[in-house]
Amino acid sequence: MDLKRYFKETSFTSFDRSVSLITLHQRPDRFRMLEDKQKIPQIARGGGFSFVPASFSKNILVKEMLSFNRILEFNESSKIVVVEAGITLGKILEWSFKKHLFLPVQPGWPGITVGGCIAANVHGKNPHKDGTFVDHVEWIELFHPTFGMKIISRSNETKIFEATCGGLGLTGIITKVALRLKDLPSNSLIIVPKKAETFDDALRIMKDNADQDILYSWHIGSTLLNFGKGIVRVGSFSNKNNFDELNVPKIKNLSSDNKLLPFSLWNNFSSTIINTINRKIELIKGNIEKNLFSGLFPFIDKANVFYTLYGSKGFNECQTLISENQSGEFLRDLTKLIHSEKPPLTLLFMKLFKGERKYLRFSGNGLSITLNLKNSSITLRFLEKLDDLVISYNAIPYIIKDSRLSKRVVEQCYPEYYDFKEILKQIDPYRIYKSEVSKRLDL
Amino acid sequence: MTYVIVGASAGLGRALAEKFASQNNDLIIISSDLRDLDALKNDLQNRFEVKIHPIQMSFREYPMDFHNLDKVIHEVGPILGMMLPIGLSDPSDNPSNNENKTIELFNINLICVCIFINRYLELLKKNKSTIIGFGSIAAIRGRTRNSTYAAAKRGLESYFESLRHFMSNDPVTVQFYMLGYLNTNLTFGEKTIGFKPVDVNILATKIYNNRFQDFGKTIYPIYWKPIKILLQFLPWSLFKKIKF
Repeated sequence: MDLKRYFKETSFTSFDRSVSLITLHQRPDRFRMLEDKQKIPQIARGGGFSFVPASFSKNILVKEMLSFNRILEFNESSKIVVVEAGITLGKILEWSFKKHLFLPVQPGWPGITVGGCIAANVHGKNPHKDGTFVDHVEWIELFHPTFGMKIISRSNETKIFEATCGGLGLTGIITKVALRLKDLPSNSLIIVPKKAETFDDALRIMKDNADQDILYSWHIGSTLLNFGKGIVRVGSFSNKNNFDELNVPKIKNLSSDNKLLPFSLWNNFSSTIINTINRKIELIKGNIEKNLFSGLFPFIDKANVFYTLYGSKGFNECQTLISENQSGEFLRDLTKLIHSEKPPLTLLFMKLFKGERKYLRFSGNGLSITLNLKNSSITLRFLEKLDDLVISYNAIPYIIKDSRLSKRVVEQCYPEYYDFKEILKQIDPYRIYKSEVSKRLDL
Repeated sequence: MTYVIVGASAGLGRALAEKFASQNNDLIIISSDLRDLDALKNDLQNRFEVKIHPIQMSFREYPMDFHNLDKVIHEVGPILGMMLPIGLSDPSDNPSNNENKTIELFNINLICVCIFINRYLELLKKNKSTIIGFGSIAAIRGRTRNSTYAAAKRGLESYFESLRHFMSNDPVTVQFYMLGYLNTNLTFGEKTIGFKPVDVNILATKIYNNRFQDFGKTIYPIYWKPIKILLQFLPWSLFKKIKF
């Protein structure tokens, strides 16, 4: 098979629209295309929803894995399902709902692939209760031209397994994954919005409800009016099935290639108005019952509009994980920084985290704070100062969210940055797997 | 009731397998790599209440090995239909092809397809069934590029006309789809002269819904119909300048 025939040049844009470039693209749809032993610099790509350019780079072959999206094995008693890495979370849920099972860790979009979830070690709506994606992975089949297919797990090739979970796709191509599913308590969730006047309020409410099924807060980010006011969403499974059938709706996928306005409609003024109104409406509505799919993906109806309003210059997002005992102090310093720099901060989200830190994995015990901002020179200046704050607190930034993170910040924040590089050198001496992110971070 | 799909591991064949399985039809899926077929079999059996029988078989060479397929076909009972979305094109295919390439392209696109269908005609006649073949717009009018592929596909079209005629008094529907650009790896990276390749899942649904309709031949997507007429009547002085 002449594999080069199936290459083409494609323009890729990171979801935050910070990087756009043309490179070689391949869509393997059968095993002999996947197991290409040539040592061509390459990177696997799933749904392409990563905010940062983690699945493409100049002169790097992009291997789009979406054809490898099959459910291969299922063990009823252990509830372990083996899937191909290109399967989307939506497809797994569609199947698992029929068996009254589900995967508790669901990031923001059902089109994200399992391979992408592992490479970014994503989290769901309450990482304090459910951990991160790695906590639900039993084993992974990894392909690398130097060793072919290899099964890696916590007990077999431990180092490679740990480096692959949250390893940005740099250890090889994830081909198969065994996931442990959980029983579905019911098909509906009761979401209770709790009023938070300050970040401290939200933190207190979250600590009081740490073991709920859904737990996160959102806050107004603009310093114009109502800064810091927000809502903590506390959700739990209903005692009974209140919806007839649980379906995964057909959803128009998010795209970073939409035709966009040359300017952002999000700014300190518009975000204050819109978020204040939204907050009031949500509090007036009070408790709501949602089907599980809507509960797991609450942003699904609004995401396209939300990101489109940022216009062609895009947005910046940064997510920081700070240890529990420093979270209050960090929030106060962050508030000071926001008030002094006045960045165009649209929204701020908080989640409690529980998990083990390893290599470049975004996990640990503490509080995660996510800032979503319009891309501008003020934002970039603010984020540089935030980097120093993050370093001074020994916090970690989420590599997969922030397109401008530098090697300086990552090597200072992640104590195992050099250990990760060393593992890459051992398993991939030719450094075949590369992306814009790995180049920027010198991985 | 079982359908046979040749070339089921990828592209239109895989889309047909998913569509027919989703409608609770058992399948015999055929392709040259058993690993792809096994993955598809497991997926379809996990998602739908169906039995899937994978058979590894190559259409590149003659004689073909029917041993495993014969065995399975006789085990599964009545065959409701055969679909053969199989084909191979080669960007360097032109009238100066060497012997091996020419034979391979004729085998996979025409000869082995005819041999395959001929073998099971008597079996198909026993029940209401359907045979669905697939051609290409490349066969509208011969040009330098894809010369062998186009000749084979034009031959296949003629074979299906004969097959329909031959089976006209039997409960067998014979259909032939002349296909434009589909969104598969065959068109990935190829020049499609401004035509957006169409989604194979949409086509698979159309094929499923119309599987017993006696329309003979059709062209898909439909906008190729006027283009076909235009190309057929284009004066030679202009046609010879076409480079695509």
